[in-house]
Amino acid sequence: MIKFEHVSKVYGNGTRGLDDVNLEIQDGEFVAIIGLSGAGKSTLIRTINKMIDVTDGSLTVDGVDVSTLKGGALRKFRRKIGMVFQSFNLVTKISVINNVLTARAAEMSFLRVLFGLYKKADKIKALEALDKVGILDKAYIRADQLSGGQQQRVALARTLAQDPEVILADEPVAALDPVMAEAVMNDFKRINKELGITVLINIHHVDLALQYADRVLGIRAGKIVYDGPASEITEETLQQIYGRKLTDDEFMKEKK
Amino acid sequence: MFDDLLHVFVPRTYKLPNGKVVKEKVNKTPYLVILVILMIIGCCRIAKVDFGLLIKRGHFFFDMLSKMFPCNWEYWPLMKKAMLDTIIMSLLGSVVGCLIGLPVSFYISTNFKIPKWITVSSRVFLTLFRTLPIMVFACFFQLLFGMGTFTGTMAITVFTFTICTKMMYEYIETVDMGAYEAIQSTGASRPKCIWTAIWPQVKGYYFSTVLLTLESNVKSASILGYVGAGGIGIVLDSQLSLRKYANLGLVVLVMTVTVVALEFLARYGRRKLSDV
Repeated sequence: MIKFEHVSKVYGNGTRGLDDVNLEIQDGEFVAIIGLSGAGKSTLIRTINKMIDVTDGSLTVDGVDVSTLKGGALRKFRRKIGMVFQSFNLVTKISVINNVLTARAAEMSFLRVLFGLYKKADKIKALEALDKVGILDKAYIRADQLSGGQQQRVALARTLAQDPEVILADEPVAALDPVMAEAVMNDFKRINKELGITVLINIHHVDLALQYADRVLGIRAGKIVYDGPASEITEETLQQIYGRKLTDDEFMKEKK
Repeated sequence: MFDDLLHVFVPRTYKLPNGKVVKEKVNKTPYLVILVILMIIGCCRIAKVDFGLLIKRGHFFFDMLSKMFPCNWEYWPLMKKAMLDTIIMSLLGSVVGCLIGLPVSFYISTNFKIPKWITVSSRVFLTLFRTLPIMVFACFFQLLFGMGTFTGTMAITVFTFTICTKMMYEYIETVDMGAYEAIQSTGASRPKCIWTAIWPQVKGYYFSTVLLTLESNVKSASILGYVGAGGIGIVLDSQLSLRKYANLGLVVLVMTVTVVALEFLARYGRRKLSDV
């Protein structure tokens, strides 16, 4: 369980990333976070694995206060939280399988990492992860030769190879075309349902958020302005989140 | 004619038939040319460049050349050890210097959130070292370790280290940090993140740095012998003072062949590595 209590984040230049956020996210939830660029979506997600430090309040994950974590304890904590990025963040110069295997580095001795001596079990785990996202046949191709959608699946496989309890995804489909975006969202959904992994996803596509997520968080200027089931979102709440009405062409598909 | 020359320096004002006045813009180039010429003349004075001496004694150079070639092939068995030493010294020095330089250059790059006092102080330290030419290192180490190839190897190692770290950290700071962030988020330690995410991005450049230093080290290694740091320089020095021109010819020939061969090899290697 992830619990935010009066969490605030003020950046060095005075920008408020988060402003008195109170949240509770249960294990196995599929949560979409929507809001304008700069509203604090990325900040919210990155505080959970302490890629960003909070300045105020307490943030606990499974009862552990994240702000107290440092060094080895922090790294151990990060192992159970997977992360997926908008720009995939793959090591483009190495093969797909080696990209997925980087997720195992955290568990290995430095000497093994240095010489790339991955255990057989790790390799099998990596291949399984690739199979789960349907790109097993691409395992030995260099990562930069894949399309955007395929690269994002490699990134997802990398996260799965880490055996995470939670996956944080920062705009995972923003750089993809609508068809690819749906395919990747389906992967997320399946992983959430089949493996019971909690998924927190930042997303600009409101309709994808409503379609796939069980719960939606609307964030505006660092404050949570909507927190509830995706089915209960109305035009008014969207207006509250985005500051104005969304027009039909701002949705990827026909509104239901 | 003189008028036009004068107005290269002094801008003119033109009056057009329709009464409009156009003022010429000052051209700075002629002033710069004159300044450069004056500087060259000044420098020649300070450096006591004597063109008369050049004309009077210059032709002895060709005398020397004609005495050097054809060279004395019988001298080869006596100098081959020294030549081999030179190559081994530069090979060992380049490889070891770059090997030590690699991890250090990661730790003085600013993109891994390493405490600033560490990066800044190490950089200042390395910059100070980089001001010293390789001959100065060779002289120091000669006092420490005595005459011989070990001294030369040490000098080349330290010199290579300073060059390698400088080239590498500047390159490392330009790489894409996305993959690093991703692997960091899996809970991997900094060295692991660097090795898995950054190293694949910089290794092509690194290998080409190794070859580049090797290439220039072979050249500098051939004169290290002058200060007692081993290699072909000793032979060069002794044969020159003994005026054994035919032997000298062979030394120069072998050195040229070696350097050219290594340059070719290095260029070939770098091309092979270009898509690593």
